[in-house]
Amino acid sequence: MPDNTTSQEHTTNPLAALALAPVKTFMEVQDKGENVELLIRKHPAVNVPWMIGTVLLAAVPTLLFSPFGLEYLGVSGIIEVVSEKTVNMFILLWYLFVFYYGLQNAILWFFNVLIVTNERVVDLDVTWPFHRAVSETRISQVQDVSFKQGGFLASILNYGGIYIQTAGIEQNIEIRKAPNPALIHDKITDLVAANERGNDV
Amino acid sequence: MFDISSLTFSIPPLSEVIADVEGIVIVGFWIILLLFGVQLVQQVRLLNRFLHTAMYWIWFGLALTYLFIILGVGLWYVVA
Repeated sequence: MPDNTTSQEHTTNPLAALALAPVKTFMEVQDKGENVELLIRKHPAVNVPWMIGTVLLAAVPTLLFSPFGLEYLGVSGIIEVVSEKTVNMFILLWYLFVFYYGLQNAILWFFNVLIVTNERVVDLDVTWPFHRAVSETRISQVQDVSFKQGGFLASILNYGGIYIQTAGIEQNIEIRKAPNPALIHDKITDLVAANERGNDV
Repeated sequence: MFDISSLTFSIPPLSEVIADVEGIVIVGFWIILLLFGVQLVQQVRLLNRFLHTAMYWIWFGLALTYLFIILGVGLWYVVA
């Protein structure tokens, strides 16, 4: 089994869901000599529902003004009562709202990460729309790393949950729907082993 | 509408009421989007600071552009 603790490969794609020693990536709380070894986001497939939602929301004005829209519902009189400027402005604001919805979801996916460095594991949780939580543990405190993969889509797309159990009162860390959980598990256990070896010396 | 000189109430024409309601709805919607825009810029700024990536300027640029578009649209509504 090769020792992968010092990654030779560097992921250059900034949108990668699983980045090995990503370039130009560092944390605000990163110490000197600390390197980001893994950057894990949820599998890109988790973005499909909100992307479909964005397309559907963007189609609402077109659908409303189609023969199957307001006319079909028998409420086309509403448009005749309000001014054209108001209708145009409302459509414009609607598209801005749809853009916000899409951008916010993309940002949430991008920044919901599990960062593994050679010294610690940091979990950044950003939830809709204004919540942010950070939890972290030292690599030396990691007791057990496990992963779970189950289900039809998870098998096809190869994603699953990574669970990091820590010693003492430190919070356990997990990320669900992570891509290639077996590889992540292998990399983290290698880092833990390297850390233990380093401490023994 | 209350007329102070004759102390009587009169119902304003429907077109005036509709115009008022239109204005309130549009301005209300615009204010909500403006708050969303400001929140987005601030969120991106804070998250970018915590985790600096190669996408830093792309996220920040998108959020800032969004905020400027909202301000521009608001200005257009007032001027037009």
